[in-house]
Amino acid sequence: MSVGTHDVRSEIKKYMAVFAGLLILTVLTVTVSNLKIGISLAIVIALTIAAIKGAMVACNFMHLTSEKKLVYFVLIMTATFFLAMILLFYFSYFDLPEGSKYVP
Amino acid sequence: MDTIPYTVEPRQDTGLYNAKFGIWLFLSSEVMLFGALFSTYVLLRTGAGVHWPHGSSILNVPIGAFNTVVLITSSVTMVLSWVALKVKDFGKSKIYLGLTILLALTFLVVKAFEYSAKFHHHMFPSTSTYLAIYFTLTGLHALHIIGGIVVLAYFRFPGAKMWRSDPQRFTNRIEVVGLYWHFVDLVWIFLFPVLYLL
Repeated sequence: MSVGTHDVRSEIKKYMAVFAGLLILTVLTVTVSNLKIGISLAIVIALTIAAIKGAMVACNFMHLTSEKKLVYFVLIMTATFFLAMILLFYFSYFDLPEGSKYVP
Repeated sequence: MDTIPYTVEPRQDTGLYNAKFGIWLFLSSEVMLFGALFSTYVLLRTGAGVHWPHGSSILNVPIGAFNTVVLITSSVTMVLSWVALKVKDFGKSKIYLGLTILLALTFLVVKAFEYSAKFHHHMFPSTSTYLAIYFTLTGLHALHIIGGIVVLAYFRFPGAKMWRSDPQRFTNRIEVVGLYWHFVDLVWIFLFPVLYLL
């Protein structure tokens, strides 16, 4: 499947725009981390920005927005099992044997 | 015929050429691998409570940010290398692939300096829980970078002759290694804030 020159120019423009966006978000991540905000808020903001950057890479560089249904299915399964794994870790934190506790 | 099927033409049932489906399955397994380690980080940190150092007190944020920019740029050069092949510009593709490799090597060199600085100050994985998970996460990521460099270098140099014999298949190979490379970049996009900024 060959791509016309016109399509390529607009594709490249899109990639460069995504590049600029990623750089701006990187600067934003570092800037926000220097603000005097609580750790919980810092975690939420940092991971949100990281998720946006990740989505930009996945949708544009990895062409996930125009992929086949089977790939989406595989990734949805992955996300489901990943979430299940996270929840297992999360719930195990509250599920200690009788009399034991976390020691920092 | 002895040729491997579906290296270019898509399979009827999947709608994809085999390598593309294969790499997405592999990346799914990598999500579970790094996901497990990120979960480890979360568990260790919540268990430590207030006794967890702020990333910036142990790691150098400007260096980490520089490495983030390096990897993001390498993702751009990687996708541009594939686009160049789609318009049959092999020369440009080779340049972008070479740049991707150089940027990857830059990342590794910077990481090596970071590690050696830690070791010089007697800071090892065994020194603290924070350093243990830091070295584990970044070490596994660095191994992925090294593996990626090996494959990229193969396609840039000896493997490039497939452009003459089977250009579409070669283009697909670059697309597939590109997907791997973007994933490695994606992992770092999460690693940097988690380890350096929080």
